[in-house]
Amino acid sequence: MASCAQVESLVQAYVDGELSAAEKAILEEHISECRMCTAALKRQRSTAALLFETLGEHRLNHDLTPMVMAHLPEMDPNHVRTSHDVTLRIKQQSDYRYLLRALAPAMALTVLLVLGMMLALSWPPEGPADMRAVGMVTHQEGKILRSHESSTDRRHVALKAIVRENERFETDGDAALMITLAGPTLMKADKNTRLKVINEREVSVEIGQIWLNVCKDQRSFRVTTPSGDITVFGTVFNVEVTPDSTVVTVETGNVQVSNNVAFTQLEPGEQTQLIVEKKPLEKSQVDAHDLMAWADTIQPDPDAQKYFAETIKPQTVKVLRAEQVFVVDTSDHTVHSITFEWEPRPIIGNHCGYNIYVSDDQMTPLFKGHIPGNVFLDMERNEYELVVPEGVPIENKSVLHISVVPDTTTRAIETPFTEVAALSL
Amino acid sequence: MHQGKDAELVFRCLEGDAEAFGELVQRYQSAVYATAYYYAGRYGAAEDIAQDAFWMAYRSLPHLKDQEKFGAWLKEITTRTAANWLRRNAPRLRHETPLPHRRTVSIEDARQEPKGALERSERYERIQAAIEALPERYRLPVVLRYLQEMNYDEISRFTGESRDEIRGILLRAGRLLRESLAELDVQMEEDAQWHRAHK
Repeated sequence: MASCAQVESLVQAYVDGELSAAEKAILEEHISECRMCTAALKRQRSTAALLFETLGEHRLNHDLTPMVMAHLPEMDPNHVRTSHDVTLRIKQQSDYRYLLRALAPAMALTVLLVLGMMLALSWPPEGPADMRAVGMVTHQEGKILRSHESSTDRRHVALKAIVRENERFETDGDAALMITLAGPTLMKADKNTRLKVINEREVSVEIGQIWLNVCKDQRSFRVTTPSGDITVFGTVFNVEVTPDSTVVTVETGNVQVSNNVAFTQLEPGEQTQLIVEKKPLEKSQVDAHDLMAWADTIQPDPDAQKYFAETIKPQTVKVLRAEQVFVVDTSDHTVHSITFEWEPRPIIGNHCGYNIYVSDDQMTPLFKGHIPGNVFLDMERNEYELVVPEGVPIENKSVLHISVVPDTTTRAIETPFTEVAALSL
Repeated sequence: MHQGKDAELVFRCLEGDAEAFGELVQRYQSAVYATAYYYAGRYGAAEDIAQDAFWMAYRSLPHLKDQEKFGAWLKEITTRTAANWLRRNAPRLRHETPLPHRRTVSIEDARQEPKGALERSERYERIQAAIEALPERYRLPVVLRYLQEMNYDEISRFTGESRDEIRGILLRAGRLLRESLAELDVQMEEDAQWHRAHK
C-alpha cells in the first residue's frame, strides 16, 4: 500500500478532480484504511470549499465577448522585420569585416524604418470593398459606358455619377471623360479608352490614353497597363496604351516606370516606352505640354466639381506600406544572383508577391525582378534566388541597393525577409 | 482545449476574420478576468482591465511570435494592462478605501442574518490576506483555480508553466492555505452547526 506521505501529495489534485485513474485508485485504496489521511482529505476539501464559496461571489458572471467585439480596435499594420541581419555572402570567402561594412548602412535604415513604423498609426481597413465610392464623373461628352466587375450590366455614364471601386469605363470614338478621384486626383480619359478605377490610388488601363494630375499623398498612385506599371506620389503625367506598348510622358514631378524586367525614373519633359521584356528603358526628351494638349480640351463641370467636394471625402491615410530596403556590399565581386530568405509562416491564403528593384551606389537603376506570391505558400521553402539578367552592367558595383516592395494594394499577407545576400560565382 | 486550436484561431484573426478573435475571448475571458482581479479586483476594475487587455491583444496580434503560446502572451499583456491601470489610477486610489467586498447585501441576507454580511466581508479579508501571504509564484494559479474554477490544463496554458508544475504549485499552496485558514474553517463549521440547530 502507498505511504501516507505519497497519498498526501495526491490529495489536492484529488479534490480538484485532476488525478489519473491509476492515482485515484491508489488514493482511494489508502483512504479506505487510513483514518489520518481521511481526515486530511476532509480538511483539504473544506478549505477548497471555503475558497470557492468566498471568491466565487466575485466570479465573472457574464460573457465579456459582446462588449469586447463591439469595440474592436484596428490591428497594428504587419510589423516589418528589416534587415538586422543583412549579410554579404560571397561564396569563396567569408570575412567579418564585410559583414560589419554591410551592416552599418543597414542599421541606419533600420532605425529610420523603426521610426517610420512608430509614426504609423494604421493601415486603412478593408471595407465591404467593392462598393466604396472613390470618385465622381466631372466631365462627360459622347458615348461612355460603365460597368462593375460584380455584374454584366453596362450603363451610360452621366455627369455627377458616383464612381465606385473596381468600376470599368469605356469611351467611344468621339467621347471624353473626366473623373475626379478622392484626394482630389484628376483623371482625363481620351477617346477609345478602356480603363478600370481600382480605387482612388490605382487605375488600370487596357487601351487608350489618360492624363493624370495626382494629388500628393503618403500612398503611392499606380497605373497598371499590359506593358508595364507607373508609380507616382504627386505629379502630372500622360499614359498612352497600345496593345504592345505603353508610352509615359511626365509634365511635372517624378514618375517611376517599370515593365517586368526593368525600371527607371522619369523627370519633367522625359518620356519612355514600356514594352514587355524590353530593357534597358530608354528615355527621351519631349515637349510634354504639346503632347498633352488633348487633355486641355477636357475641363471639369463646375457644378459637378462642387458636388464632388461635398460628397466624396478623401480617406485619411497615415502610412505607406513599408518597403524593405537592403544594402549589400559586394566588395567588387561580380554578383551573379541575389537570394532572399524568410521564415515560412503556416498561413494559407493570399500572400502578396514582391517587386525587387536593384540599384547601384549612385541609385542608378540596374534591374527589376519579381518574387511571385505563391512561393510563400510552400512551407518547405524559405529562399528565393533572383538571377541577375544577362546584359545588366553589374560589374564593378561595390554596393547594391535592393528595395523590396509588396506588389499589391490589397490586404494580402506580407512576408518579412530575414536575410538578403548577393552571391558571386 | 488544446494549443493547436489557439494557433489556428490566431491565424484566422490575422487573415481578417474577427469572429475568430471572439472565440479566443470566449476561451480566455475567465483567465484574463481572474488575472485582472488578482491585481485590481479590490478596486472593482477587473472587468474594465480585462476588456482593455483583449483590445490591446487584438491590436498587437501581428507581433505575436509564437502562435502556439497565445495564452502566455495574453497573460503578459493582461499583467501589463493591470499594472498600467494601477499606475494611472494611483493618485486617486491613495484617497480611496479599497473595497474588500463589493457585493451588496441583499434584503434576504439582512433579514436572515443581521451579522451575515459583516462576517462574510471579514472572511473575505482573511482569505485575501492568506493568498497574499503565499509565495508570489503561487498566487495567480490559486486565483485562477478558486475564482474561476479553471482546471489544471487551462491554468497551464495561460501561465505558460507545465501541467505538472501547476499541480505542484496548487498542492503546496493548498497546504499553506489549509494551515492559515484552519481557524476560519473551524469557525465556519461551527456556524453551520449553529444554523442547523436553530432551524
